[in-house]
Amino acid sequence: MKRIAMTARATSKVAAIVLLAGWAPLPAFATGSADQDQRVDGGTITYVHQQEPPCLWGGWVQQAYLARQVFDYLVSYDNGQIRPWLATDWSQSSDRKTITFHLRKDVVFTDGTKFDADAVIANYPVWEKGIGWHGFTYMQGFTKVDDFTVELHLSEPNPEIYNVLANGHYGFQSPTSIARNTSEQKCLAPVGTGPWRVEKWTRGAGISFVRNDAYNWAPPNAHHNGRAYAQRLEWRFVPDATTRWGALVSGEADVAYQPPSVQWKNAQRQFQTLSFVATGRPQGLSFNVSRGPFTDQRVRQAFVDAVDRKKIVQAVFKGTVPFEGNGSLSKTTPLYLNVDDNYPFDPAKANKLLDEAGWTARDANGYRAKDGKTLEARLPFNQAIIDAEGAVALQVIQDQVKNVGIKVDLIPLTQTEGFAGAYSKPGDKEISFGYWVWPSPNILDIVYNHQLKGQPNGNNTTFFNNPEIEEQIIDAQREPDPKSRQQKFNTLQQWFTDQAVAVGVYNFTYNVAIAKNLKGLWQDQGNGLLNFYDAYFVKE
Amino acid sequence: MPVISSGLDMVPADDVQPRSSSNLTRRILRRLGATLFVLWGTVTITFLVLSILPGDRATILLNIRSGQAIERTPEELAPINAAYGFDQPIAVQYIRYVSGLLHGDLGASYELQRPVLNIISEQIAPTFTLAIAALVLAWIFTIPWTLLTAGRGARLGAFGSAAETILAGLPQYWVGILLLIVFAIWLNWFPVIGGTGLVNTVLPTVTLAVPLAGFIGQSIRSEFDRAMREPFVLSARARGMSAAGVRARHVLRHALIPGITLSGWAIGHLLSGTVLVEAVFARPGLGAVLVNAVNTKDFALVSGILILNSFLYVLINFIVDLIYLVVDPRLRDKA
Repeated sequence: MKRIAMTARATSKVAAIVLLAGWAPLPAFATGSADQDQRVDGGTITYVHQQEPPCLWGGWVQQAYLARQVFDYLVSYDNGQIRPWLATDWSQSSDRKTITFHLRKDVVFTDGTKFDADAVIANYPVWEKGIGWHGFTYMQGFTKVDDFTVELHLSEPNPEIYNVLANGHYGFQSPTSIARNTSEQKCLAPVGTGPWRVEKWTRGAGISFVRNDAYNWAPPNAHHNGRAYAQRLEWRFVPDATTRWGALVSGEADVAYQPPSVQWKNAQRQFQTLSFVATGRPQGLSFNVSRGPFTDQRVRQAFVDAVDRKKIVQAVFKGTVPFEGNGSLSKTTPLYLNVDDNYPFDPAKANKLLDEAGWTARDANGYRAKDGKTLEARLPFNQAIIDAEGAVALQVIQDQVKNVGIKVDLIPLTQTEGFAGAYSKPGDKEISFGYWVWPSPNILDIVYNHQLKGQPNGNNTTFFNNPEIEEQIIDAQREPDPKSRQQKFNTLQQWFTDQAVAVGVYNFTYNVAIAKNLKGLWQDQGNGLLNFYDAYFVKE
Repeated sequence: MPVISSGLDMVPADDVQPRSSSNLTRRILRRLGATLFVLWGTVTITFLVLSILPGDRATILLNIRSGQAIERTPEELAPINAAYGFDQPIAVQYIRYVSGLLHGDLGASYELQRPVLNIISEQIAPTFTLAIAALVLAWIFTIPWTLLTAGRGARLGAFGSAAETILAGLPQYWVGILLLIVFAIWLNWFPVIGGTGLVNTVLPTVTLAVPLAGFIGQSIRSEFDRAMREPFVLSARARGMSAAGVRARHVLRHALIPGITLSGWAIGHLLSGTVLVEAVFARPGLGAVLVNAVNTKDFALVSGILILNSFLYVLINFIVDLIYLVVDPRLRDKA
């Protein structure tokens, strides 16, 4: 989760999740379609992906994509519903801070270790250490009730804790492997209970997975149970989009990640496609509200009024990435509020607001000024997170606000600078641009909290500091009644939009194109993870 | 037909004047000393540069592990700094690394969580194969091209030279994508996704060899033209040798020297500068590993790859020196 796909390009045809042709959302294990009759057992699925993470498992969404193939999870997220998986059922304490999970008794890791309460307990410290944002889930630890019952303790009630547990990061590794394997083994070939196991990882080339023949504990939203249909999964790392597209066209690959945007229409015509709009925060503008010109609400609103966001997204992404008006939550996040019609393009209004705010003088270059200071905004962006098309969108924004007299300095950062935290202090910038994949509306708690354990909160890119609103966010998070909770989060999302603290521009998406003879592949709705377990070849 | 020696013909090895063995030993020792100095310099400069470059390593490590790009609190950084020794003074970190090296320990990559030696030994073969294949292919392009177009009049020479300049200026990425689209995607002659097999190596090799052939061609052309005006050309012709024979046997040998020098440089470049080709053809290799390691300031890995590169560079230049002796007998006396 978390911010992901460095350089990943955002492309997608539609806002909602598109189901792949040939697979309807049938009840679990439903079969009997024409495709199923043509099913070929075995075979090797070749998937070409863009980025190669350092280790198979970790806190980065690129690692969740891989981890999902070898691990299983306590629960499964199924179109807004939480379904059983390694936990058969669960119950919540009255303060909603303790959840009791009853575990399956027939699950075995690929090294022969049994999955039980001790295995769950052994994994918790691994999560704590390996997942950088673990603290934001409010999890505090597991305790064992009996061999197949555990209690999960939370510091805050978190109705979305199941979404978190269902995402790719919170899988289980064999406790034997945790205790005995070297860090290199745990990095390259962690041992899970999942439908695949790692055979070999060749850095720079790819990972070979082979199916786990003993697998018999698929979640109910999978399309079948038992071992995977295909025998092998070749997960190749192909950084160049043209090469990935070429591999699919030539038949070398069966599934290709993010085809070039210019080919997306072709991909939809010639192949099957899947698109997933990431949960969390979209790619959006976050204004520095602690110092500088954007402490004035009118200046922030003027900036947004001056930008034709819908048209920019349309022009830059050629209709393949959806526009997102909400700067706090993306369309697929639970309790999302659609504010796409707020701030329509209105340069006249922008000029009026800036006049009212006192930015009436002009400097030598024609930009607005006040008290001898130019109305200027520094906008650093990490090139590992904002891809080339995103950078073009930023340039158009820069050009459009120039028309109302605002000067934007775009500052591209290298990957090293970006990840080293350059330009992340309040005095370094006026606007931030970026996104964050997260399955829950408590993202507001993460990004608008002024402090984190007594230190400035690095995730607060607006440098927002309003104890009253923070109180409202945590109140919404704690609200037990689902209706009131939705209402409270709606109010907050509308407030942040009206205040123009952060506004959305476009959604982060995960698209794949799939060969016509491969059926049954589906994308998890929590963070877009591909499920190859149900995928099978048909006779052509 | 007996060829009268002009002093430039290749002399059989056993005709070389015997050198005193102490002279040879001294030369080898001097070489060895220079090699060690180069390796030490590589390690030290890499260490200093990566220490001085902006960007806190613990912050990068934490951010990459969680996919974030934010400032970290001292509380978060302290355990990382302690675990990897980043909290020690630079001098202590340096001494610790160098003493590890002296014990044959290249250290571990903190990003990939693996011993550097394992990573390098996994990646060296595809890199080395590609580098050598590209260099050989570049020469295979260059020699006939030079023989066909150099020293045959201004027009043909200008044409040959222009072609070389264009080739030398072609961006690798562009050549790679073009070859990929035409030969792999359209014609289906080669696989699209890389690998390290023979067929997978053809297109990457051509991609690297084409611009390199342009460079080498340029460097040997002017020398070839100059040598064509030497009196020995006329005397060889007067002895009845064919024009083609003179060009191939005598003139070309003169012209090779700058090309050989350039090859020594090129191999160093090919061993680490292949990242674009690796990306286009999805081929494993040290180029991408090195670029990524530099981005994440993964010192042990950067340093390990550079030590290997410097060592190979020194070794290859030593071989280049030997090739000089084979190509140009005049140098043997000086040796």
